[in-house]
Amino acid sequence: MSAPDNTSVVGLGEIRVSKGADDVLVCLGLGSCVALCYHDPVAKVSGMAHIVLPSSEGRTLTAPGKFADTAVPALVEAMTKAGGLKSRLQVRIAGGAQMTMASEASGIFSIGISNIEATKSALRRAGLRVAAEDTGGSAGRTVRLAARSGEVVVNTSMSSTHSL
Amino acid sequence: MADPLMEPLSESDMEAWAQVSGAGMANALRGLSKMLGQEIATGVVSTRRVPLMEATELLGGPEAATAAVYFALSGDAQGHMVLVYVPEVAFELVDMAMGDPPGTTKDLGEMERSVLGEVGNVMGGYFLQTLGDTSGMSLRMSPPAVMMDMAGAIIDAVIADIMVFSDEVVVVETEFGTDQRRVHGTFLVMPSPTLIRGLSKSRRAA
Repeated sequence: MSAPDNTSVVGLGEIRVSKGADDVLVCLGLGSCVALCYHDPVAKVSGMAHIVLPSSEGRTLTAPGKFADTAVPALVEAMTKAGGLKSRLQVRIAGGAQMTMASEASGIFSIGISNIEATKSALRRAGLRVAAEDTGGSAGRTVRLAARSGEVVVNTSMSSTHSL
Repeated sequence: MADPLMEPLSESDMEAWAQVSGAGMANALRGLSKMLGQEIATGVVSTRRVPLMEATELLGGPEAATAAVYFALSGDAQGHMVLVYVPEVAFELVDMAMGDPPGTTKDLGEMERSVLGEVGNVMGGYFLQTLGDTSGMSLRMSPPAVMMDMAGAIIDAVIADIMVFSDEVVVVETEFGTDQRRVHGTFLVMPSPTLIRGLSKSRRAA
């Protein structure tokens, strides 16, 4: 992995795009949240959004990255501005866990499933296909996206590491 | 039309919340002391507003290994309560509750989770009793959800639930523990604005 100073943390609801040779975009400790990752292999540019909720429900937005329905097009726009081309985008998603199934608390924690469904349906509406995903389950994830290569690496709390 | 949830909380609302939740925390620690049969000291109770973006810092950062017991609050108002421990401390707390020597518990199996949940039940129950007695509101807590994972993963669904109406969260937190055994936890309560206003109103009426 590259040096920490080339790593940009993508916080809750944020969108970041990078084309730096050694840059890494990272979403830390995802539970129900979703890391939406785009990569354009020709322009060698990558982008990541840290989605928190499924739907903006028409709200006026300061941070389109918060919601699945607005993050999908907003990240396309950010990629385009950085020289990417929508038709070349490779899409990978990770996250959307349900951290507990415990009775009454599970209502809140089932938001992960809604986040995944909303992200996929927004991607379909945008005409984008998911190339790879690591979603659902009940374990937290840290997701790293290497800007130049587009490689996505997922670490879970049980310390397994794999590429998407 | 302004959504009452969106209206900012006043200073007097925050003051009322600080007082009542402080008394609630003290009561929760009394409950824990009774349960464990030994004096559990409480640290400074802090009440503040935290931007949601920074909320995982309350648990030691998004990737911090964390054991947590979560309760959803419902009834006349909503909110969230989370007891947060470093995993080793959670193990030690289980040893204390079971009367086992330190170092006995090394993982959270079904039995250990149930013990942690019960400790949470006692603390949360005593805390809510104070809130209910003070405000006259009827407040219920869900059964405990015990989790062990990265702090961010544990808390992000709760953050999402709050983010629907706000970009910041009001929290009350305290540390507690004993001198003899290294048991330090954080008790975090995130009330809805409705809960804070209810407390504030009942205090003005009193």
